[in-house]
Amino acid sequence: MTVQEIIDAMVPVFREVLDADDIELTEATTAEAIIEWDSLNHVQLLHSIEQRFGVEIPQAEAATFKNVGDMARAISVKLAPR
Amino acid sequence: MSAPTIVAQIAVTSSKRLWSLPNEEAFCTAELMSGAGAVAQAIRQLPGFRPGCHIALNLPTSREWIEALLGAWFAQAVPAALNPYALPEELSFCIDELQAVGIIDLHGTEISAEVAPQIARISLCGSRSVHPSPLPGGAPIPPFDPRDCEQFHVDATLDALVLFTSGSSGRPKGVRLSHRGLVASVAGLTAGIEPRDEVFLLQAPMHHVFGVVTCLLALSTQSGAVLLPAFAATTMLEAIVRYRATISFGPPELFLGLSSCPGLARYDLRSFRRILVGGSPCRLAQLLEIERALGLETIFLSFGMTETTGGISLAPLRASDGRPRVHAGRPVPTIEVAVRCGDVLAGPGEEGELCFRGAHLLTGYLGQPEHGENDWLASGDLGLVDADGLLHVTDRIKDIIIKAGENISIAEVERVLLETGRVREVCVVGVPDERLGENVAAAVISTDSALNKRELQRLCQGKLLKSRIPQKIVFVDELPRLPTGKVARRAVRALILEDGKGKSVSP
Repeated sequence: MTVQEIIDAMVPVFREVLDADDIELTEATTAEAIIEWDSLNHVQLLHSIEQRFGVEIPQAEAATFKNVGDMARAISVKLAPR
Repeated sequence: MSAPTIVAQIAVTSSKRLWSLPNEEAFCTAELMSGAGAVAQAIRQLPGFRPGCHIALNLPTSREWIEALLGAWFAQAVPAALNPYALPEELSFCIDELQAVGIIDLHGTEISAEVAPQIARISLCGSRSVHPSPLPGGAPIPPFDPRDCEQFHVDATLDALVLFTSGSSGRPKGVRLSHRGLVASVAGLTAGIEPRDEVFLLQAPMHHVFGVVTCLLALSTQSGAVLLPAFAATTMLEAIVRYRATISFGPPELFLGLSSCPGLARYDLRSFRRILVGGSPCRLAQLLEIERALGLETIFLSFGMTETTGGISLAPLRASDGRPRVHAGRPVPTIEVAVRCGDVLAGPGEEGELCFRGAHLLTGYLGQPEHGENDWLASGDLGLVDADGLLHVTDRIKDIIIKAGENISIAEVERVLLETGRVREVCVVGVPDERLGENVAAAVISTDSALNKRELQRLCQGKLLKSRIPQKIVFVDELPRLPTGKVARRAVRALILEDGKGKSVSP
């Protein structure tokens, strides 16, 4: 999957977990820009993304993501055939 | 006890360990006192220092935060806890209100010069070091002598701490709390929870009264403690397992967040036996779910405000017969409670405004007349005391929204929305939210039809903390009003809930 394809696939996950059907994502989208994203639903969001792509994203790694693009690139690396 | 202050109750000889995350630094109370001694020496060197002066603390929950608090007390200064995550405008406002002689922050994350151009700085860099050394020639600070702690004397009626609350005017209000109030608050909680070899999980922010009082409770009862700089469910669960944490205080939404954490069953939470919830209204189903999911022995319910130096009531969710019921705790013996309907006192079981009096109460608000020793504090909450002597909070008169334990000023949100220049009239209300207790919502008359919800939210960014930006916004042609002309908030709330059944709606 390309980074853009991953971001497109992340949109429905964000919309469902954060309960807002008008969330749009780009590579540059930050947590700060999504009003519905807070520290209490963060773990659920991360877990749902892990499930959607069948990958593991440790909390420490997630803390290094500056934006959605960083997250998508990390998932892309995990999905790449070894 | 000659000096009724918390400092005199902190056991310097305690061998209990404390841990500060995320770097997992371990330390004991004696080491904490050493750091505090260094901070005290630095404070005494500040230009304009005099006993009773204000010193601002701009620090996350950490070892350094406690050292700064105790250091300010040793120097006979009055510490004021700022919200380290606040926006520059709010920080600047609070620092101006305080007329602080200095600000203490972490080396490398200092508050910007634009926010506080004139103020002297003390930077704490890592443990036990103050940067630069306040002594002539940068000489190292001598080790702290525990006798300084034993000899610490201060008039207990004097101010011990300033905390900021969301004021009804839309600007934070500085609440002055006394040493006596802190002692009363900690004593009330100690008697209520009867600590037994505890390890406290301290995740509440230290600019919140809940955070400060829990931290002092841990220190004064010779308990262990784990300090977490911010809430993150997995970090908290990992900390419980790793440090065998036994107890934590927080709003119900926080523990609900833990209860619903994916993979919860992986964590061995057997050490974690008790929690105290407060700061936000509770629902029975929610509390029972928390109790079940975390395998808790006891959930204490409590009520408190910044102005009452934190919790003034507590009692377990389950009565002695084991049956659970929601209440707001039993008032501690050192607080007087009156329920007032106008000028008349309500009888047992009758609803009215909850009013409090006693040693717990504030000494006053910054820049306002003193709160007299025998004056009642009107809480802005409606409630009652039932036949069993338990407190119940039934509704709110004051204009705040309580979102996951955070008090949000309606006036502040409305002001920022109007200042975008795209809003002609606005009414902000709290709407029920399953996960957060309440959420921020607004009915808006916009100046132009092109404005939508996301654009308005974007205009608020950088001017309002994200948690305060309305998530639900309804655009209307006019606001419902009362016969007096005032906006009818209840009608606005109903309108927002009806529109999209509480979901966010755009024009």
